[in-house]
Amino acid sequence: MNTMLSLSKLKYSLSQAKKNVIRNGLMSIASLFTTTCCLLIIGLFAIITINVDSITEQIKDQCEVQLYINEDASDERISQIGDEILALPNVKEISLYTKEQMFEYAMNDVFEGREDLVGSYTQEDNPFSDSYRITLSDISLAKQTVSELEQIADVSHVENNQDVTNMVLSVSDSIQKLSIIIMIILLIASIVIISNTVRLTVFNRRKEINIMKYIGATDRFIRTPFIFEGIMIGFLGAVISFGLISWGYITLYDTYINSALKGVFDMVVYSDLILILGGLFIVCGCLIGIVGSSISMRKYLNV
Amino acid sequence: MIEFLKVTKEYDNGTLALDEVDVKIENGEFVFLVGSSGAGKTTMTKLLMREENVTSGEIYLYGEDITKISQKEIPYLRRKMGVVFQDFRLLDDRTVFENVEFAMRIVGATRREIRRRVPVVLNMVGLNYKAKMRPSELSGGEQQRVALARALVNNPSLLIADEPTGNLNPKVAMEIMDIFENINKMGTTIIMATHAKEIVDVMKKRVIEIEDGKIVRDEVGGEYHVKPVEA
Repeated sequence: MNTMLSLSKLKYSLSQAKKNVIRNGLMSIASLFTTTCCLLIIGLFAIITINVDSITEQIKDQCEVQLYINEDASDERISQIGDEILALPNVKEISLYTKEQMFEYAMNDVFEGREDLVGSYTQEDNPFSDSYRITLSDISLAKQTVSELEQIADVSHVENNQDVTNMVLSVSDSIQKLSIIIMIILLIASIVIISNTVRLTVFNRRKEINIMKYIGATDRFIRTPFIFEGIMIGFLGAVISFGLISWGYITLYDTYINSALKGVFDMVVYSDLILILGGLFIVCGCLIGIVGSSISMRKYLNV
Repeated sequence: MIEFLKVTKEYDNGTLALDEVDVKIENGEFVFLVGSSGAGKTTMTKLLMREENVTSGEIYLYGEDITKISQKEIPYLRRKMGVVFQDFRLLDDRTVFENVEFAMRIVGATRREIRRRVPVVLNMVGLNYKAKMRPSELSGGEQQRVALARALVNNPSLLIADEPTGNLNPKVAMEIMDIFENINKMGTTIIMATHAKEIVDVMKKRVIEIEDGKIVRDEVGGEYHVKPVEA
């Protein structure tokens, strides 16, 4: 019996909410517009954050240092050094570049057709050193790992170009933090705006709320239709802004695919974004609706 | 049974609306609260609905001290009583039927119960044929009937009315009073704050007169004769 009662109340609340959205047409459209705009901007920053994150990951993957070995090291020693490198905690993978390979590479690829520049160098009189290219797991520990690598015997020097990478990473980190702050501010701003809009709706219906209180309606009964109203508007706003931002992103992605930027960085593919964005929009939309309506309801329930 | 025990109500602005009031009202009684404006009649109805709470004293309603109930229990207290106001307080964007239905929705009635009960109550107040009209299309007397139907629809054992005829002409007011009388005959306790001398004098019910927050007269079958306010 009890569940029957609550079900009939729930159905009533939903039908009331639907009627209210239509009855307060202009106000509903205003709320919808605000929610959509805020969600669009939130979505924009989410996309920026996700892409910056993906680019950062790519940079991290390219986190490599080059280790050069003393010329007098034997082949056996060279492979031993390889084992010693792999034993270090921050080393993901290594690949060996022998001086012969480097010479071949230089002769055949770099100075092809300009052999005169190479001068008298031959395989026997090889100017290159044997070296390992080392991929690190965590770029932030690069400095420490490099100094560890330098400790290994028969290592001539370690080339570390991580300073630039580190700068890029710290910039991207700042961008991400800033984006998250902006998203939170926007979320709060839209909750305030929605709550003001709903407050006007509530104000228009204060008489109804007052009567309900006198007849013996519980606060929850009075609040529920307004909350549903907020959720409906928030959800609809989420759907609209999701559609708009998806369309915008796909268009942008198509432009990117056909542009020169394609080689420079990888834009996140839309299908990878869709779940995160959809979830974010619906959660934010409903959150804005629920919190916004709840805030504006409080005052009128004290009868 | 309703019992006020040494009830004092002082508002935040310092007005002493009720001063150690003791009164007992039995089930099924019809009581007029009379007195000049600001004497404390409305405060008594507000205390009964817990729209306000006492400064000191106790109010028992069916054995329960309603001055002690929590904010959360207030809606359930109000469901035990029907309330009628001078200004009707109907919703203009709903039909007569929906205005009455509204009160049943609040207590979680099913659609079937609503379809069965609302016409019965509208019939009691003589408005069945206007169920689909809006309050704005009705006369003042008819609007008060709708408000009465709404107050009665959940079968309250107590009906509180604050100046229910204040906005109505004497003829219409008497028609409304006939309905109140019928409801009372069916066993509902009625407490009515009023200024309407002609009604009180004709009805010959219990009259409680309040002046400056004190009960100055409590007379069964009494008449109005409240001292006019000196200019």
